[in-house]
Amino acid sequence: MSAELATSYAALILTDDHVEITSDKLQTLLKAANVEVESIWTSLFAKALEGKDVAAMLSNVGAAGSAPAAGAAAPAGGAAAAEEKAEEKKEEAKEESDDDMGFGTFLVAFSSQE
Amino acid sequence: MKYLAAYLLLTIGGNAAPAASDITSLLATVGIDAEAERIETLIAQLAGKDINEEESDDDMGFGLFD
Repeated sequence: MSAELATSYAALILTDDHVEITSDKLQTLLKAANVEVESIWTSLFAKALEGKDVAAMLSNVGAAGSAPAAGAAAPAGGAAAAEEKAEEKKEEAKEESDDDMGFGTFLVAFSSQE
Repeated sequence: MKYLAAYLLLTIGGNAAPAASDITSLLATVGIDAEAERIETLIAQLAGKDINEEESDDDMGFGLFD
């Protein structure tokens, strides 16, 4: 049994319904599923994912699925290109899901950090 | 996605064959509503498949593991 794997599943459950990923909520899910995970893992996950749009990261698998990579890729392409890409991704995402994951805002926020 | 994640999480916890009620209860602990129909569909599709077997290496008929 992998603590990381179990915590990942718990994080997926929360993010799928846009529930805030906190150590407490992760522990609640894990306990309810009869999985014992040391709180260090849930704390780590909650901290690492804090404020991040996990759903957007998942749909951006090409950028190694990590926020820094996604952030680096956007400014590298230039603000204009990033916005175009964001619009494109937004449309793709809209087709697949019912709600707007705010992907455009996510990328613009990163490129404005430069 | 959450239904599959819930299902997998329950199997990690030792429940080899989670039922719809297990998934619904699990999601309810963090206030997430569950659509019974979608859970039933998921379980029906997963029935008879050993989750661990699905994820393990398959030699794809090349006899790699012989």
